[in-house]
Amino acid sequence: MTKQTHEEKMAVLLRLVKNEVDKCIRCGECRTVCPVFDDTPSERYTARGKIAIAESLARGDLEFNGHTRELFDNCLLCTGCASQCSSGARADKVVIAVREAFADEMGVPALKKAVAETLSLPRAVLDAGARIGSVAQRLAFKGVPGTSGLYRRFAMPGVDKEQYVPQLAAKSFRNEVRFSGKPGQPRVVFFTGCMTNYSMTEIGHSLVKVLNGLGVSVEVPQEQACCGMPMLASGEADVVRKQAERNVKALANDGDDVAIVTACASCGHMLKHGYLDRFGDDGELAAGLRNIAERTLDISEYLMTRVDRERLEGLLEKKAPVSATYHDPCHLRKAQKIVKEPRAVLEMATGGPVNEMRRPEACCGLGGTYCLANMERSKRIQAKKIDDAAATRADVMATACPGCILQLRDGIRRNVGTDMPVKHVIQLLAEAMKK
Amino acid sequence: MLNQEFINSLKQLVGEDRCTFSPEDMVAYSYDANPEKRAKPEGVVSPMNREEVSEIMKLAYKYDVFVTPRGGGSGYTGGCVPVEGGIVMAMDRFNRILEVDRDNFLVILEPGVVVKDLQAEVDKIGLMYPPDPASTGFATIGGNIAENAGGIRAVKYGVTKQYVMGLEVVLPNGDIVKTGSKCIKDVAGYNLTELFVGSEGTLGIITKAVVKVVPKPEARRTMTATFATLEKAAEAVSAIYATGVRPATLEFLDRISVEAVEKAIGFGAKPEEGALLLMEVDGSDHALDSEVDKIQAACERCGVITFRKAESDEDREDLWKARRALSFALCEIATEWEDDDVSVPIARIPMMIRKLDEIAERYNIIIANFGHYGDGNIHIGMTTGKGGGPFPMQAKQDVVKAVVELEGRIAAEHGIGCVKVENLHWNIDEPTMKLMRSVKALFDPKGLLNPGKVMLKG
Ligand SMILES: Cc1cc2nc3c(=O)[nH]c(=O)nc-3n(C[C@H](O)[C@H](O)[C@H](O)COP(=O)(O)OP(=O)(O)OC[C@H]3O[C@@H](n4cnc5c(N)ncnc54)[C@H](O)[C@@H]3O)c2cc1C
Ligand code: SF4
Ligand code: SF4
Repeated sequence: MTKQTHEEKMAVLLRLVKNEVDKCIRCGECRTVCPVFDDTPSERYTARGKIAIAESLARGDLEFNGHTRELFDNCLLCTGCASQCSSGARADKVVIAVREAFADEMGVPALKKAVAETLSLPRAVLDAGARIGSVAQRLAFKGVPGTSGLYRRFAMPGVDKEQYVPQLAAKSFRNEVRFSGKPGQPRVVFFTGCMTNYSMTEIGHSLVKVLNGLGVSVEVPQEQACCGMPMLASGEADVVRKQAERNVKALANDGDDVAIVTACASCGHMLKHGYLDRFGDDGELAAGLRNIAERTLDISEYLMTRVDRERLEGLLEKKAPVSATYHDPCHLRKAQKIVKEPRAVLEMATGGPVNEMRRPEACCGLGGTYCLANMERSKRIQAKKIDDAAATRADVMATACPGCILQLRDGIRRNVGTDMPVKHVIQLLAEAMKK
Repeated sequence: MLNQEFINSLKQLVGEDRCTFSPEDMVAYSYDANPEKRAKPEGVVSPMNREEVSEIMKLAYKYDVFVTPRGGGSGYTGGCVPVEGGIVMAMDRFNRILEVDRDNFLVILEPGVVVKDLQAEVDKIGLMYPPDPASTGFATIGGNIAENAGGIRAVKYGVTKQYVMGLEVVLPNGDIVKTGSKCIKDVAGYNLTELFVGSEGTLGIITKAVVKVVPKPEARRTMTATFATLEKAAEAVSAIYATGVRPATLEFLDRISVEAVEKAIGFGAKPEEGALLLMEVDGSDHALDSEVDKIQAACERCGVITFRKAESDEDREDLWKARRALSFALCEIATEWEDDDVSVPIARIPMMIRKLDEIAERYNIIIANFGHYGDGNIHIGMTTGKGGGPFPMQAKQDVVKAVVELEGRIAAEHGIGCVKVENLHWNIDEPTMKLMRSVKALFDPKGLLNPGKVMLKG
């Protein structure tokens, strides 16, 4: 294949963003939901600003340089703007397309590259790495009381010394569970995601416990790969394509309508929309991706739509109600429109109504590697979230995404005033089950 | 080209992080919601307090730099688009509600507050800020004041100007002036407040406002009524007014709009339904049922085809669906629309609609109109249809002519901005225009504030 000229590449970029450029009427509605704009009110950070600037870049009216890159890097891909937009413009797609162009023009920043490269390694290598990592970690980090996390004893370049780092599991979840249940029972396929697999394995075990309790078997395909969200975010479309292909192989064409469940908001968003947004016109691959997308359900969505409510309640112990507040992961609420279901699960698990915080839908500030690459702004967004959560004086904070859990625990460590534990709703549900 | 000394002084004044001259930022401040008008500024500054605004104006005055104030950038007529270059003054950081004075029913706030946030703040204590434009969720109070924005409650509650009691404004020479007061009755001097309301950022920069709030009505009821023609609907409106009931909201959709929405979302309109009224009444709960009954009876006397009442919040949403789906539904008829926003005295709405029908026929185009019946404000969409040829611009002229003949106004909700400057003389005669020019010259002798807007230079 001959190498594309700059002009050809820009034509591709323009094609990728044209649809959103046409849809955006520049009304400004997206200003009110963007966590970045909320922190720094400058039109360049709004979705409509990014869309207009992307068009100018593609047309050659602006240069690809560090300065223009900065504003596209300043997006958490929370999809808040897209879900608010009455015209249906998708600035998140624009940001991804422009980041791809930047990766091509200027390369991927080392930090993001390191994360993406690690997560796209073959499974055996990752597993071995995690095993060694889990031992090495204990030497390098101090334990954090109250949570299963750590923080570092030594400085690490690019990362703040205070950063909460989750403990790596000695044995990855997928190495422990391949199939759990009884043959012949109804079953689901579990897409674990990296965090659940390598670190917060308790989320995976909770999911298995609840579903097995309901008489549903859980199959954990061994060859599933990282969903590819971090690579998509850093503009490495080729790597994402490989992950997509691997996941199609591992998950697609299951014959009958077996649900793929996930307990990670970002993985769910990727399986349902992220791949198709990018490779939706990609012939055979797209067919496989559609198959996966149609079968994917978030675990709370699965429990609320596919399971008999009484049966679920029957599993639970009657205890005094616990006060729990709930943080909406962006990729669950805004990207997947799942709002009621996790709250319903949480109410069952705690035996009482959700103790709602102010703006439960506000982003926690993680945004994948955003929290490392744009640390100061990320921490300010995080601090607001923690303040709102702390103000509820709830006993526990629940959410439905391992990424958010990481960020919220980090926030709680930094912001004195609360030591609220943070857990996944499915984890709380499993804990509420009769022994 | 901005003078380097000016740039340096500006940087020194507000710091490097609150002013920008970078090319991508100039793109980001080159637009508002107007589909056509775009122009890049040469710099953008984000002041934080009135002293800074004053100092910036003094600098601009000294170096002859154009200054264009900008709120949420949701205006439809390019009001905050810096058509002559110079700098944009972004008011985003003026976003604090300073005082909620419950006893005097007023709120003191900065202009960058999003209207919805003001509404939410007073709602908590049982009060209401009535102006409710469709852009409430993202337009700022400063932009609303500068545009004298109207909204769906205007029939009963009036528009923004009825709620502005006082202002703090920085003039182009840097002077800080204060108009109005907390007093409802106030004749101490000229009424300068109203001069600034609707002045589209051409006379001064609003840095603070005192606005009035009212007790929140206890309850509201929502209903829709359909008729064969808009004339029939107009008769019904007169009949409703005759009963003494004052709806808070009175929106209408014409035949093309009804058909478009029916096709897009299927809300159950029959082919004979050629006009729809969406109405709301509010007030004390026990009185509302009888008001609804009176409205229904009036509509029935005027040949209503279907009358629907909302029994729950969900029903209400259902009734609003047609109105809300409209812009999207019209996009299905055609992608390219020529829009206009005009108003006529309310009793002449049917006459205006008839004229629009004639124009549509004459030029073989489609005209869809809808809007706020209660304040005579009509939004007109004109198109040659999907795949139709280029739009005959003469038709638009004819619409404006018709408006003027009916003693209407060429701009209603969305101001004159830079897109209607050439047409203002349709409404304003030369002596009046001269007075307006002298007023502008008095406030802004060098013509530096928001140039190219509202009036052509005399
Ligand atoms: C989807 C949509 C729906 C709309 N619906 C309505 C509606 O129902 N009714 C209606 O009336 N309008 C409506 N509008 C138009 C628009 O929202 C209003 O004109 C609004 O008042 C503009 O406010 P803004 O803060 O966005 O101001 P901008 O667009 O930023 O500016 C508008 C004007 O105000 C001036 N200005 C802004 N701030 C200041 C200040 N502090 N001091 C001096 N001048 C200032 C600017 O120079 C400009 O001339 C709608 C717009 C959209 C996009
Ligand atoms: S992206 Fe959507 S919400 Fe934002 S300005 Fe454009 S149309 Fe409006
Ligand atoms: S995706 Fe989120 S962070 Fe990015 S522009 Fe949209 S609202 Fe802002």
